[in-house]
Amino acid sequence: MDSPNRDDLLDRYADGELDAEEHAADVEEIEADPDQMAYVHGVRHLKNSLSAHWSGETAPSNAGPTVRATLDAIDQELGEAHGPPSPTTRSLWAGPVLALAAGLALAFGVWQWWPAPQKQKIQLVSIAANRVSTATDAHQEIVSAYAAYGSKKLPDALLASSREDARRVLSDNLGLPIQAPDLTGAGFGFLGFRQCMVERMPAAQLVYRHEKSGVLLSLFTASKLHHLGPTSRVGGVREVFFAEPDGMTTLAWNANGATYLACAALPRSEVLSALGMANAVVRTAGLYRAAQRLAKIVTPPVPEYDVHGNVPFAAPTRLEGRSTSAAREPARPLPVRQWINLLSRAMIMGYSARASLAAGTIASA
Amino acid sequence: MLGGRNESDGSSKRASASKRQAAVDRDRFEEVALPHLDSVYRLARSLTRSEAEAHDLVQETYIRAYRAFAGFELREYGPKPWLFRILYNAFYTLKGRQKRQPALLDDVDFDQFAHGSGDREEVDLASGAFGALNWEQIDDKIKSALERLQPEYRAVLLLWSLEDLSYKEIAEVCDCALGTVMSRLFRARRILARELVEYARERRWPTKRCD
Repeated sequence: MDSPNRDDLLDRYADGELDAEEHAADVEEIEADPDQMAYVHGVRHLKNSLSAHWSGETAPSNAGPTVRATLDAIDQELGEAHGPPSPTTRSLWAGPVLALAAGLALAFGVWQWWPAPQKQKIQLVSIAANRVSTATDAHQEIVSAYAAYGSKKLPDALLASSREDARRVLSDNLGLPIQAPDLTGAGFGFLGFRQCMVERMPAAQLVYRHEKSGVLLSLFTASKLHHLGPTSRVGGVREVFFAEPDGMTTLAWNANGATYLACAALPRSEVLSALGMANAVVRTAGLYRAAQRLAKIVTPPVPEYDVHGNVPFAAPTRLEGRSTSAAREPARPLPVRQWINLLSRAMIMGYSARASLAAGTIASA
Repeated sequence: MLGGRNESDGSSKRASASKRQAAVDRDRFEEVALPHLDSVYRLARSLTRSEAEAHDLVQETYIRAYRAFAGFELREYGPKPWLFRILYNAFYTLKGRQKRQPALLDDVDFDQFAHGSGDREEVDLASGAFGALNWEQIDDKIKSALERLQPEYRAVLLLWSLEDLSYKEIAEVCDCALGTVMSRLFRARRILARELVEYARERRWPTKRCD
């Protein structure tokens, strides 16, 4: 131990990486020294202990199905040219996935409030992420969403004394047989609901609050946003898209001809668990990077609120690329683009959730 | 007309061949890459320390691997180090690091890990206390000590111990110099050694001599 080189030699010897012929004298010295040999044994014990420690850690049960679902998406992305995965390929994983699905079937009972089923094409998260044109575009869309919110299309804030109220009012207004799922099993009590506008279309927001922590969880549904999320079930297991703009977990999926989002400032696993979707196949690849980038660009996301709890506009000075003069002028409603890509749409709804929750539209009314 | 039909037939055959090739590639990819899912996940978990982030990183890794699979050749290290390397790159990309910065790692203040000075380390090693630890009682301590390590050190330890990769293979995975691998590995081991010896001393555990 009289020089750094000595240590290196000892470590290399312990790892079997020391050339015995080249370092014959060193090897001899190490093997003759009980303390150095004790260190060598210690290193080998450490290696065994670390190996034993890590070998007990395995990938979650839904990791394999998730990867395969993502590969399916890539195959589809590569085009109809490649067609669907071959029957042979499917047979490799259909069994395990179906088995997994069977075990999870009850977990999805909570979603029986969705409208009548319609066949949907699988949406490809990887493509969608690639189609996030620029951060500026998404940024603009978020501002637009706030602008639309702040104009005459302010959301109709409604309260519910029961989930039955939500079912009746929202079903009538949206033309969808909507029911607020019962999340009391996860500790979330139904707080209320409202109707809001998303992309100039009516959407429902159902808000829950955790009875102990007070954390709010918001569910959205709208009837004509089919293209937002994945519609598939891998062997019956729900697939969801995930983005996390500014710490707001946003899950999106399509089912039964409608789009659904869940938003909460909670870890993704907790949101999924609360919804009884703990083992859902989460499709995040590609989205993750874009979400991280966008989340940085649009900070801080929470706009100013007026006394009515409405969301007028994002504060322009706090958004990159906006002129300072705009900050002194009332923001004008901006046209919400007809096409809004997957991620920015998720973010809009995520931020809408954040905005409404922060504004206390329901809680304080 | 005849020419047009031939072109159409040719196009159809090419499309059909493309589909068959895609199915073969997919099967081959699953056969080569999916058996390593646990290993890939462990490395992802080790780097991110977060289950959700590890999940995302695994997905990203397999997407990248699948897209690059056509150009992949089973070289001397096999598919696992290849997947590890993709994961490693994906991790840094996702973290927004365009360039790896090993120099920063070398500047890490290791005092945060150690309870004593550099001399203490010499004493521990020279006295043989590390080699004489009672390893059966120390597993929990290893877990907590690992949690405090920098991700890059934890990853190197994992590749060295569980995956049993050589220095050269680890360097391939981490895309860094052999010396950097050795430096990270040796320092990580010494950090753990110090913590474990200290832990044993605090509890006055009897030690046993090695053969």
